[in-house]
Amino acid sequence: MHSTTSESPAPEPPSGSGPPGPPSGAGPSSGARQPASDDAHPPLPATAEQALKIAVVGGFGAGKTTLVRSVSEIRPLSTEETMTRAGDGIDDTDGVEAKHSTTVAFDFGRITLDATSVLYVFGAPGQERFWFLWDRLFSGSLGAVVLVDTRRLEDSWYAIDRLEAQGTPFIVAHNDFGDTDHTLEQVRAALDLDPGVPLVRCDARVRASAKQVLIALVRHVRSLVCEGSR
Amino acid sequence: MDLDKLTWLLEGLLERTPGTRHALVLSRDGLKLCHSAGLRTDSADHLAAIAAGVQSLAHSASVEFGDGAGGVRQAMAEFYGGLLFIVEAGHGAHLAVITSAEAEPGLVGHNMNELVEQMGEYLSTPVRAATGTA
Ligand SMILES: Nc1nc2c(ncn2[C@@H]2O[C@H](COP(=O)(O)OP(=O)(O)OP(=O)(O)O)[C@@H](O)[C@H]2O)c(=O)[nH]1
Ligand SMILES: [Mg+2]
Repeated sequence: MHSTTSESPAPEPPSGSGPPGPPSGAGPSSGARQPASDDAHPPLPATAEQALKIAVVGGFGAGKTTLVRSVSEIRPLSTEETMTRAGDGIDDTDGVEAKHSTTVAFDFGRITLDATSVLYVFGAPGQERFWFLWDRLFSGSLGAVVLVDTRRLEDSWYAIDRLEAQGTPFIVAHNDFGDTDHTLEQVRAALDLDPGVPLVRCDARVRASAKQVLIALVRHVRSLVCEGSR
Repeated sequence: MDLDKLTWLLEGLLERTPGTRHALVLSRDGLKLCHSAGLRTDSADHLAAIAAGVQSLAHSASVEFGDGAGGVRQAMAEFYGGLLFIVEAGHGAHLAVITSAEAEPGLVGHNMNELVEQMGEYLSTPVRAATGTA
Protein backbone atom coordinates (compact mmCIF):
# COMPACT_ATOMS: atom_id res chain seq x y z
CA MET A 1 0.00 0.00 0.00
CA HIS A 2 2.58 2.57 1.02
CA SER A 3 4.82 2.60 -1.96
CA THR A 4 6.64 5.77 -1.28
CA THR A 5 9.82 7.23 -2.56
CA SER A 6 11.52 10.23 -1.16
CA GLU A 7 13.34 12.66 -3.34
CA SER A 8 15.35 14.08 -0.52
CA PRO A 9 17.84 12.06 1.47
CA ALA A 10 16.05 12.84 4.70
CA PRO A 11 19.16 13.20 6.81
CA GLU A 12 17.46 13.35 10.17
CA PRO A 13 15.30 11.00 12.16
CA PRO A 14 11.68 11.96 11.71
CA SER A 15 11.71 14.64 14.33
CA GLY A 16 10.15 17.19 12.09
CA SER A 17 7.50 15.19 10.38
CA GLY A 18 3.84 15.97 10.24
CA PRO A 19 1.97 18.26 7.98
CA PRO A 20 2.12 21.96 8.66
CA GLY A 21 -1.37 22.53 9.91
CA PRO A 22 -4.50 22.68 7.83
CA PRO A 23 -3.74 22.64 4.14
CA SER A 24 -5.67 25.73 3.28
CA GLY A 25 -3.56 27.82 5.59
CA ALA A 26 -0.18 26.44 4.70
CA GLY A 27 1.83 29.57 4.31
CA PRO A 28 5.60 29.80 4.26
CA SER A 29 7.41 28.64 7.36
CA SER A 30 5.36 26.39 9.53
CA GLY A 31 6.29 27.18 13.06
CA ALA A 32 4.90 24.36 15.15
CA ARG A 33 6.61 21.00 14.92
CA GLN A 34 4.57 17.94 15.56
CA PRO A 35 5.75 14.78 17.25
CA ALA A 36 7.08 11.99 15.08
CA SER A 37 4.35 9.95 13.51
CA ASP A 38 4.58 6.21 13.18
CA ASP A 39 3.39 5.88 9.63
CA ALA A 40 5.48 4.76 6.72
CA HIS A 41 5.75 8.10 5.00
CA PRO A 42 9.20 9.43 4.43
CA PRO A 43 10.03 11.94 7.09
CA LEU A 44 10.21 15.55 6.14
CA PRO A 45 13.64 16.96 6.65
CA ALA A 46 13.80 18.71 9.99
CA THR A 47 15.04 21.75 8.15
CA ALA A 48 11.89 22.03 6.06
CA GLU A 49 10.97 25.63 6.44
CA GLN A 50 8.77 26.38 3.57
CA ALA A 51 5.52 24.54 3.30
CA LEU A 52 4.07 25.74 0.05
CA LYS A 53 0.56 25.05 -1.07
CA ILE A 54 0.21 24.67 -4.82
CA ALA A 55 -2.91 24.18 -6.90
CA VAL A 56 -3.02 22.26 -10.17
CA VAL A 57 -5.86 23.39 -12.39
CA GLY A 58 -6.96 23.06 -15.98
CA GLY A 59 -9.66 21.59 -18.14
CA PHE A 60 -11.33 18.21 -17.94
CA GLY A 61 -8.86 15.44 -18.70
CA ALA A 62 -5.79 17.65 -19.01
CA GLY A 63 -3.82 15.32 -16.73
CA LYS A 64 -4.08 17.01 -13.33
CA THR A 65 -4.61 13.81 -11.37
CA THR A 66 -1.87 12.11 -13.34
CA LEU A 67 0.55 14.88 -12.44
CA VAL A 68 -0.24 14.85 -8.73
CA ARG A 69 0.13 11.07 -8.64
CA SER A 70 3.42 11.21 -10.50
CA VAL A 71 5.08 13.65 -8.16
CA SER A 72 3.70 12.67 -4.78
CA GLU A 73 6.05 11.01 -2.33
CA ILE A 74 3.16 10.01 -0.08
CA ARG A 75 0.25 7.90 -1.14
CA PRO A 76 -1.77 10.49 -3.00
CA LEU A 77 -5.31 11.24 -1.96
CA SER A 78 -7.40 10.80 -5.00
CA THR A 79 -11.09 11.10 -5.39
CA GLU A 80 -11.53 9.43 -8.73
CA GLU A 81 -14.89 8.02 -9.61
CA THR A 82 -15.78 5.95 -12.60
CA MET A 83 -17.57 7.98 -15.19
CA THR A 84 -21.11 6.71 -15.52
CA ARG A 85 -23.62 6.58 -18.29
CA ALA A 86 -25.28 9.56 -16.67
CA GLY A 87 -22.43 11.63 -18.02
CA ASP A 88 -22.98 10.73 -21.66
CA GLY A 89 -23.12 13.99 -23.53
CA ILE A 90 -21.77 15.93 -20.57
CA ASP A 91 -18.31 14.53 -19.97
CA ASP A 92 -16.53 15.02 -23.25
CA THR A 93 -13.73 12.48 -23.53
CA ASP A 94 -12.70 13.25 -27.11
CA GLY A 95 -8.95 12.76 -27.28
CA VAL A 96 -8.74 10.93 -23.95
CA GLU A 97 -10.88 7.92 -24.79
CA ALA A 98 -8.86 5.78 -22.38
CA LYS A 99 -10.04 7.98 -19.56
CA HIS A 100 -12.64 6.20 -17.51
CA SER A 101 -12.58 8.09 -14.25
CA THR A 102 -12.87 11.69 -13.19
CA THR A 103 -12.00 13.70 -10.09
CA VAL A 104 -15.05 14.50 -7.99
CA ALA A 105 -13.35 16.37 -5.13
CA PHE A 106 -9.60 16.92 -5.37
CA ASP A 107 -6.22 15.27 -5.55
CA PHE A 108 -3.64 15.78 -2.87
CA GLY A 109 0.01 14.89 -2.73
CA ARG A 110 3.26 16.04 -1.19
CA ILE A 111 6.71 16.47 -2.63
CA THR A 112 9.93 17.59 -0.98
CA LEU A 113 11.77 19.73 -3.48
CA ASP A 114 14.90 20.37 -1.47
CA ALA A 115 15.98 20.62 2.12
CA THR A 116 13.88 23.68 2.70
CA SER A 117 10.82 23.46 0.46
CA VAL A 118 7.97 21.07 0.74
CA LEU A 119 5.09 21.39 -1.66
CA TYR A 120 1.55 20.40 -0.80
CA VAL A 121 -0.04 19.87 -4.16
CA PHE A 122 -3.80 20.07 -4.63
CA GLY A 123 -5.25 18.97 -7.93
CA ALA A 124 -8.56 20.54 -8.85
CA PRO A 125 -11.50 18.74 -10.39
CA GLY A 126 -11.82 19.66 -14.05
CA GLN A 127 -15.50 19.39 -14.74
CA GLU A 128 -17.67 22.42 -14.51
CA ARG A 129 -20.03 20.90 -11.99
CA PHE A 130 -17.17 20.80 -9.46
CA TRP A 131 -15.76 24.26 -10.06
CA PHE A 132 -17.39 25.54 -6.90
CA LEU A 133 -14.59 23.72 -5.03
CA TRP A 134 -11.84 25.79 -6.62
CA ASP A 135 -12.06 28.73 -4.22
CA ARG A 136 -11.20 26.49 -1.30
CA LEU A 137 -8.31 24.95 -3.16
CA PHE A 138 -6.95 28.34 -4.11
CA SER A 139 -7.17 29.88 -0.67
CA GLY A 140 -3.72 29.97 0.82
CA SER A 141 -2.10 28.80 -2.39
CA LEU A 142 1.20 30.35 -3.27
CA GLY A 143 0.76 29.63 -6.89
CA ALA A 144 -0.85 27.41 -9.46
CA VAL A 145 -0.03 25.27 -12.45
CA VAL A 146 -2.46 25.40 -15.35
CA LEU A 147 -2.20 22.17 -17.30
CA VAL A 148 -3.27 22.42 -20.90
CA ASP A 149 -4.03 19.84 -23.53
CA THR A 150 -3.54 21.53 -26.89
CA ARG A 151 -6.38 19.57 -28.43
CA ARG A 152 -8.73 21.37 -26.06
CA LEU A 153 -7.06 24.67 -25.41
CA GLU A 154 -10.35 26.43 -24.82
CA ASP A 155 -10.89 24.28 -21.74
CA SER A 156 -8.06 26.11 -20.00
CA TRP A 157 -9.37 29.62 -20.47
CA TYR A 158 -11.55 29.46 -17.43
CA ALA A 159 -8.62 28.52 -15.18
CA ILE A 160 -6.37 31.23 -16.60
CA ASP A 161 -9.07 33.87 -16.32
CA ARG A 162 -9.74 32.99 -12.75
CA LEU A 163 -6.11 33.01 -11.70
CA GLU A 164 -5.51 36.32 -13.45
CA ALA A 165 -8.59 37.83 -11.83
CA GLN A 166 -7.49 36.93 -8.35
CA GLY A 167 -3.83 37.73 -8.91
CA THR A 168 -2.52 34.26 -8.05
CA PRO A 169 0.91 33.62 -9.61
CA PHE A 170 0.80 30.77 -12.09
CA ILE A 171 2.64 29.05 -14.88
CA VAL A 172 1.20 27.10 -17.78
CA ALA A 173 2.35 23.58 -18.55
CA HIS A 174 1.56 22.02 -21.90
CA ASN A 175 0.89 18.36 -21.13
CA ASP A 176 2.23 16.64 -24.22
CA PHE A 177 -0.08 13.90 -25.40
CA GLY A 178 2.22 13.31 -28.36
CA ASP A 179 -0.37 14.79 -30.66
CA THR A 180 1.06 18.05 -31.84
CA ASP A 181 4.02 19.78 -33.36
CA HIS A 182 2.96 23.06 -31.83
CA THR A 183 5.85 25.09 -30.57
CA LEU A 184 5.51 26.66 -27.17
CA GLU A 185 5.37 30.02 -28.91
CA GLN A 186 2.32 28.89 -30.84
CA VAL A 187 0.68 27.65 -27.67
CA ARG A 188 1.47 30.94 -25.98
CA ALA A 189 -0.07 32.87 -28.83
CA ALA A 190 -3.15 30.68 -28.92
CA LEU A 191 -3.68 31.17 -25.22
CA ASP A 192 -2.93 34.88 -25.52
CA LEU A 193 -0.68 34.45 -22.54
CA ASP A 194 0.99 37.35 -20.79
CA PRO A 195 4.73 37.35 -21.60
CA GLY A 196 5.50 37.28 -17.91
CA VAL A 197 3.82 33.91 -17.43
CA PRO A 198 6.25 30.99 -17.89
CA LEU A 199 5.17 28.25 -20.28
CA VAL A 200 6.75 24.80 -20.12
CA ARG A 201 6.11 21.42 -21.67
CA CYS A 202 5.75 18.21 -19.70
CA ASP A 203 4.60 14.63 -19.67
CA ALA A 204 2.44 14.44 -16.58
CA ARG A 205 2.97 10.69 -16.35
CA VAL A 206 6.70 11.03 -15.84
CA ARG A 207 7.78 11.94 -12.37
CA ALA A 208 10.90 13.87 -13.36
CA SER A 209 8.98 15.84 -15.93
CA ALA A 210 6.12 16.65 -13.59
CA LYS A 211 8.59 17.68 -10.92
CA GLN A 212 10.25 20.14 -13.30
CA VAL A 213 6.88 21.84 -13.70
CA LEU A 214 6.62 22.38 -9.97
CA ILE A 215 10.18 23.64 -9.81
CA ALA A 216 9.40 26.11 -12.59
CA LEU A 217 6.42 27.35 -10.60
CA VAL A 218 8.42 27.78 -7.40
CA ARG A 219 11.09 29.71 -9.33
CA HIS A 220 8.44 31.92 -10.85
CA VAL A 221 6.85 32.63 -7.48
CA ARG A 222 10.26 33.40 -5.95
CA SER A 223 11.16 35.76 -8.78
CA LEU A 224 7.88 37.60 -8.32
CA VAL A 225 8.60 37.95 -4.62
CA CYS A 226 12.09 39.31 -5.38
CA GLU A 227 10.72 41.78 -7.92
CA GLY A 228 8.10 42.89 -5.48
CA SER A 229 10.64 43.58 -2.76
CA ARG A 230 12.82 45.69 -5.00
CA MET B 1 -33.61 2.46 -14.68
CA ASP B 2 -37.12 3.42 -13.75
CA LEU B 3 -36.82 7.09 -12.86
CA ASP B 4 -40.52 7.71 -12.30
CA LYS B 5 -40.72 4.92 -9.82
CA LEU B 6 -37.56 6.12 -8.08
CA THR B 7 -38.89 9.66 -7.83
CA TRP B 8 -42.08 8.33 -6.36
CA LEU B 9 -40.08 6.42 -3.76
CA LEU B 10 -38.16 9.59 -2.88
CA GLU B 11 -41.39 11.51 -2.31
CA GLY B 12 -42.55 8.69 -0.07
CA LEU B 13 -39.40 8.99 2.01
CA LEU B 14 -39.98 12.72 2.52
CA GLU B 15 -43.61 12.13 3.49
CA ARG B 16 -42.90 9.63 6.19
CA THR B 17 -39.77 11.26 7.64
CA PRO B 18 -40.38 14.44 9.63
CA GLY B 19 -38.04 17.33 8.90
CA THR B 20 -36.82 16.07 5.52
CA ARG B 21 -36.90 18.61 2.71
CA HIS B 22 -35.24 17.16 -0.39
CA ALA B 23 -34.11 13.79 -1.64
CA LEU B 24 -31.90 13.07 -4.62
CA VAL B 25 -30.33 10.05 -6.29
CA LEU B 26 -27.02 10.74 -7.98
CA SER B 27 -24.41 8.82 -9.89
CA ARG B 28 -21.10 8.45 -8.09
CA ASP B 29 -19.44 10.78 -10.55
CA GLY B 30 -21.72 13.59 -9.49
CA LEU B 31 -24.69 13.76 -11.82
CA LYS B 32 -28.30 13.76 -10.71
CA LEU B 33 -30.43 10.79 -11.70
CA CYS B 34 -33.70 11.86 -10.12
CA HIS B 35 -34.92 13.99 -7.24
CA SER B 36 -37.94 15.08 -5.29
CA ALA B 37 -40.19 17.69 -6.88
CA GLY B 38 -39.37 20.50 -4.46
CA LEU B 39 -35.71 20.64 -5.46
CA ARG B 40 -34.97 23.15 -8.22
CA THR B 41 -32.90 21.84 -11.11
CA ASP B 42 -29.91 24.06 -10.37
CA SER B 43 -29.90 23.02 -6.73
CA ALA B 44 -30.24 19.40 -7.74
CA ASP B 45 -27.22 19.64 -10.02
CA HIS B 46 -25.27 21.32 -7.27
CA LEU B 47 -26.29 18.82 -4.62
CA ALA B 48 -25.31 15.92 -6.89
CA ALA B 49 -21.78 17.30 -7.33
CA ILE B 50 -21.42 18.07 -3.62
CA ALA B 51 -22.65 14.67 -2.51
CA ALA B 52 -20.31 12.84 -4.90
CA GLY B 53 -17.36 14.81 -3.55
CA VAL B 54 -18.30 14.24 0.07
CA GLN B 55 -18.76 10.50 -0.48
CA SER B 56 -15.47 10.24 -2.28
CA LEU B 57 -13.60 12.01 0.52
CA ALA B 58 -15.42 9.89 3.11
CA HIS B 59 -14.30 6.82 1.20
CA SER B 60 -10.70 8.03 1.35
CA ALA B 61 -11.11 8.47 5.10
CA SER B 62 -12.35 4.90 5.38
CA VAL B 63 -9.37 3.61 3.42
CA GLU B 64 -6.93 5.48 5.64
CA PHE B 65 -8.61 4.95 9.01
CA GLY B 66 -11.26 2.25 8.58
CA ASP B 67 -10.97 -1.44 9.31
CA GLY B 68 -10.34 -2.39 5.72
CA ALA B 69 -13.89 -3.41 4.92
CA GLY B 70 -13.72 -0.50 2.52
CA GLY B 71 -17.03 1.18 2.48
CA VAL B 72 -18.76 4.32 3.51
CA ARG B 73 -21.91 3.65 5.42
CA GLN B 74 -23.09 7.17 5.72
CA ALA B 75 -21.74 10.69 5.43
CA MET B 76 -23.39 13.50 7.26
CA ALA B 77 -22.95 17.25 7.49
CA GLU B 78 -24.66 19.48 10.00
CA PHE B 79 -24.90 23.16 9.15
CA TYR B 80 -26.90 26.11 10.37
CA GLY B 81 -30.38 25.50 9.10
CA GLY B 82 -30.16 21.83 8.29
CA LEU B 83 -28.42 18.56 7.72
CA LEU B 84 -27.17 16.61 4.74
CA PHE B 85 -27.16 12.81 4.76
CA ILE B 86 -25.67 10.62 2.07
CA VAL B 87 -25.71 6.84 1.82
CA GLU B 88 -24.57 4.47 -0.87
CA ALA B 89 -27.49 3.20 -2.90
CA GLY B 90 -25.68 0.48 -4.79
CA HIS B 91 -25.20 0.17 -8.56
CA GLY B 92 -22.85 3.15 -8.56
CA ALA B 93 -25.42 5.52 -7.11
CA HIS B 94 -25.83 7.49 -3.89
CA LEU B 95 -28.89 8.76 -2.08
CA ALA B 96 -28.70 12.27 -0.59
CA VAL B 97 -31.27 13.85 1.72
CA ILE B 98 -31.48 17.42 3.00
CA THR B 99 -33.39 18.02 6.20
CA SER B 100 -34.25 20.94 8.44
CA ALA B 101 -32.36 21.30 11.70
CA GLU B 102 -35.23 19.62 13.57
CA ALA B 103 -34.99 16.26 11.84
CA GLU B 104 -34.11 13.23 13.90
CA PRO B 105 -30.82 11.86 12.47
CA GLY B 106 -31.41 8.28 13.60
CA LEU B 107 -34.76 8.08 11.92
CA VAL B 108 -33.55 9.77 8.74
CA GLY B 109 -30.66 7.32 8.47
CA HIS B 110 -32.90 4.37 9.15
CA ASN B 111 -35.47 5.39 6.57
CA MET B 112 -32.80 6.10 3.99
CA ASN B 113 -31.29 2.65 4.38
CA GLU B 114 -34.71 1.11 4.17
CA LEU B 115 -35.36 3.03 0.97
CA VAL B 116 -32.05 1.93 -0.51
CA GLU B 117 -33.20 -1.66 -0.24
CA GLN B 118 -36.37 -0.88 -2.13
CA MET B 119 -34.52 1.17 -4.71
CA GLY B 120 -32.18 -1.63 -5.72
CA GLU B 121 -34.36 -3.24 -8.32
CA TYR B 122 -35.29 0.04 -10.01
CA LEU B 123 -31.71 1.28 -10.11
CA SER B 124 -30.48 -1.90 -11.72
CA THR B 125 -33.26 -2.13 -14.27
CA PRO B 126 -31.66 -1.45 -17.64
CA VAL B 127 -32.90 1.51 -19.60
CA ARG B 128 -35.68 0.58 -21.95
CA ALA B 129 -36.77 2.13 -25.16
CA ALA B 130 -39.91 4.21 -24.73
CA THR B 131 -41.98 1.69 -26.63
CA GLY B 132 -40.36 -1.35 -25.08
CA THR B 133 -43.18 -2.49 -22.88
CA ALA B 134 -43.15 -6.05 -24.19
N1 LIG C 1 -0.36 10.31 -23.61
C1 LIG C 1 -0.51 10.93 -22.45
N2 LIG C 1 -1.59 10.63 -21.69
C2 LIG C 1 -1.75 11.27 -20.52
C3 LIG C 1 -0.83 12.24 -20.06
N3 LIG C 1 -1.27 12.73 -18.89
C4 LIG C 1 -2.44 12.09 -18.63
N4 LIG C 1 -2.72 11.18 -19.60
C5 LIG C 1 -3.91 10.35 -19.67
O1 LIG C 1 -4.99 11.23 -19.89
C6 LIG C 1 -6.13 10.86 -19.14
C7 LIG C 1 -6.61 12.00 -18.26
O2 LIG C 1 -5.79 12.17 -17.15
P1 LIG C 1 -6.31 12.66 -15.72
O3 LIG C 1 -5.06 12.84 -14.92
O4 LIG C 1 -7.39 11.84 -15.15
O5 LIG C 1 -6.91 14.08 -16.06
P2 LIG C 1 -7.54 15.15 -15.05
O6 LIG C 1 -7.09 16.49 -15.55
O7 LIG C 1 -7.22 14.84 -13.66
O8 LIG C 1 -9.10 14.96 -15.34
P3 LIG C 1 -10.37 15.46 -14.47
O9 LIG C 1 -10.04 15.35 -13.04
O10 LIG C 1 -11.48 14.54 -14.88
O11 LIG C 1 -10.62 16.86 -14.92
C8 LIG C 1 -5.74 9.61 -18.39
O12 LIG C 1 -6.25 8.51 -19.08
C9 LIG C 1 -4.21 9.64 -18.40
O13 LIG C 1 -3.66 8.34 -18.39
C10 LIG C 1 0.31 12.52 -20.88
O14 LIG C 1 1.17 13.33 -20.55
N5 LIG C 1 0.41 11.84 -22.06
MG1 LIG D 1 -8.44 14.59 -12.09
